[in-house]
Amino acid sequence: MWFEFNEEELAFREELREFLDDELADGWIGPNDESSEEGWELYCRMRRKLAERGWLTMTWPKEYGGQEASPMISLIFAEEMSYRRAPGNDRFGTRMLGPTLMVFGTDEQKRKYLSDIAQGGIQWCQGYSEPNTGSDLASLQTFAELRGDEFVINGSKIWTSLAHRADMMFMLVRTDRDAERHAGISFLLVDMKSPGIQVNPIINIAGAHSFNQVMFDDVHVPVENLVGELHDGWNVAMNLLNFERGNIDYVSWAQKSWEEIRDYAATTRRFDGSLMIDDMKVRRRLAELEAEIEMARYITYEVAWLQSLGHPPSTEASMCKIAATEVNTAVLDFGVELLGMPGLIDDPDEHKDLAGRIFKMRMYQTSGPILAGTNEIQKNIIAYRGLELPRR
Amino acid sequence: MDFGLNETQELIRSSAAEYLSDRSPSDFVRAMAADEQGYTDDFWREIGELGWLGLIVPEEHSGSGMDMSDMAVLLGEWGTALAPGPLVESAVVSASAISEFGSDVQKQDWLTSIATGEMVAVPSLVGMDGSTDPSAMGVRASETSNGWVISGTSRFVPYGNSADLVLMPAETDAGMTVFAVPVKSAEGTVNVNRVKMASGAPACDIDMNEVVVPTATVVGEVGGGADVVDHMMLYGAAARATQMVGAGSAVTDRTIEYVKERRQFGRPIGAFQVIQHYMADMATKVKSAKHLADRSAWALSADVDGVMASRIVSQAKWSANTLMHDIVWKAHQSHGAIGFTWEHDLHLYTRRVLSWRADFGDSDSHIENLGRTL
Repeated sequence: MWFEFNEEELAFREELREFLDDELADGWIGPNDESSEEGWELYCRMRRKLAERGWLTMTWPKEYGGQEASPMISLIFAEEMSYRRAPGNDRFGTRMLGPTLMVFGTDEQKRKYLSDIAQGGIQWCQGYSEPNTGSDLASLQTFAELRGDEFVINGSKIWTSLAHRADMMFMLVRTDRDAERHAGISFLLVDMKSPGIQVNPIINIAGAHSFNQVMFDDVHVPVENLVGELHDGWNVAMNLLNFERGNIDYVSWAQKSWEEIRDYAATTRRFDGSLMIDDMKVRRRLAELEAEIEMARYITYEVAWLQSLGHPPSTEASMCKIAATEVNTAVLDFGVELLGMPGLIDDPDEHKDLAGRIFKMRMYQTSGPILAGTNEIQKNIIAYRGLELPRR
Repeated sequence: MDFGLNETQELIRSSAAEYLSDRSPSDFVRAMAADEQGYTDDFWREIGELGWLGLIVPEEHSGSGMDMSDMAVLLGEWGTALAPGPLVESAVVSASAISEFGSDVQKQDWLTSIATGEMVAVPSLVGMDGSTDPSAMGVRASETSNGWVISGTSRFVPYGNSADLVLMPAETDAGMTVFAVPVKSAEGTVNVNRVKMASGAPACDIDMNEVVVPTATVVGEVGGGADVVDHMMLYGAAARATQMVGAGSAVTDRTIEYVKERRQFGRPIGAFQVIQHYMADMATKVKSAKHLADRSAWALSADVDGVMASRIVSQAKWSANTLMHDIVWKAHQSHGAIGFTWEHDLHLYTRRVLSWRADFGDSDSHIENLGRTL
């Protein structure tokens, strides 16, 4: 048992901090707004710079241009990036598709895509959910018909983050309607500029354009864009989900927001002249949230530690997703309540001030317990896989 | 970061699990809860022979010289088995306080005996009002030419009826001072009144009238008792948090087994999603609290600065208090009526978890500590 980072890890964090100090604008508080043109440019610039340092793909094997960095170093990277709300940490290409291609991709696919991902030159998006397919992913209906050396896709994907910015999509399609539902799914790579693709924006409850509905109308995809075997896409995707979960972003966001709320309380006076933070009730609530952040943090650290021993994360990753998203929600809920009316003003000109951001942050966080497998689905995973409870 | 056990710790864990499941089954736990002393002398001697009472006692005093991380492994198993006896009070809190603050003579005289189990030492940390507020202590000591004269009442002293030494904070003209009072052999009037406690471990109100003890019983500096008390609270809270997580872990395991077996509506109740989510919550809470408890034991072994160590311990105890409480009630809800019976073992855990919340600082005091030092 040891609860400290080693020297190599501390040195890496320091190097990353210095890099971010240099790259991010003075007074940067984030988050980046990728729906604006400037925001997207900043994202792409940061993505390339992070790639130049080799950080985006630091955990990749050396043969694919990676550094074979430890899961703990990779965790520190994500922890620090999210703590600074820094843009450019592309998860779709580097954390999700890349590792999947290494396992299931053809030599041609690896050659064609891995170096682009590693160099930060390409944006991927993920086409899983459909209008009638959320938690029950295997019910997806978007169909790809194999005609000669092409697939022809018809259907629709939804809640697709960055689809309006992405160059490519990795997606799940049904390729056999008669097979058992898990057995008729395939994993395809699709150029977002293909004729027949239409990207329709969806505005989220924070008022931002962060995701989309993507329509497929006779979209032709060459057969060499199939990843893994035909009809074996479920297996490919399940492998990928293990890469998706277990990140520390929510813990870092909770930590950062907690600090902002604490600082706000330490500098804001009530009508009687006392500082908010002089109120023991405020201090106690901050202390409780701080302990809850630590609990979520150490579960995520444990996931990285398990990975470093070669154990793939499963139930621990689900526990970490629940704990991390719940604590971030709790922190922001407290912030909204503490700031009171000033925090409820809906004025886009006040974004620098915490009062101008807190409500929007809380609105955004509503997605945390839902996306990437709802927290209820995570509990099912813990119950079935971890605790071996019966399904019926 | 390392969440695993080293070889020594794995050995402690497996031998403790094996020994305690054999030696401290629920029949024994129940018998000891009804017993005047709360444990048997035989059991304590065996624990001493196994080396567990001297785990953190320095080697020159017949201990193993291990640290709190190693001790935490034993404490977790101790909590899982609900094993009786003053392990935390004697082998952790008193032993570490004497190691840290004791004179050479005190270490020589007491540590070896604590490690072998010949001597039981316990702290008195509860005030007259039942709180752990040091200013509520009801004992006063004055210096005379014969040594110190102590009068007053020390309340809820754990295992006070079998303790050889009670580490007792007393108010003096120079400020709070901790005395190691030999309650069985002290000169003067000492009345030890056992109070039967819900946890099954006895606590005692100790009334003292003009008890005379030599100067050599002062632990640490005269007037420096606050430091000794803080130390005992810190080690006690870390130890208790670890023990609570061990108990919560056992409750969770047992409840999961129960919902797999208990059938209603033609299926195991563990096939119902609401029960599955309870179980997932319980398992997540055990893990959450365990990391913070392990970290608190680590903080007392590693070179972590004082305020930081105290915050880490407070986070651990608050988390154990809060989450183990949640776990126990979810366990009861999942067990239904059978868990409400005296015959079923679940309440043995419930009683201890609820009682342990109050030990070495309740949730309130730990959150206050964290809030003050944000």
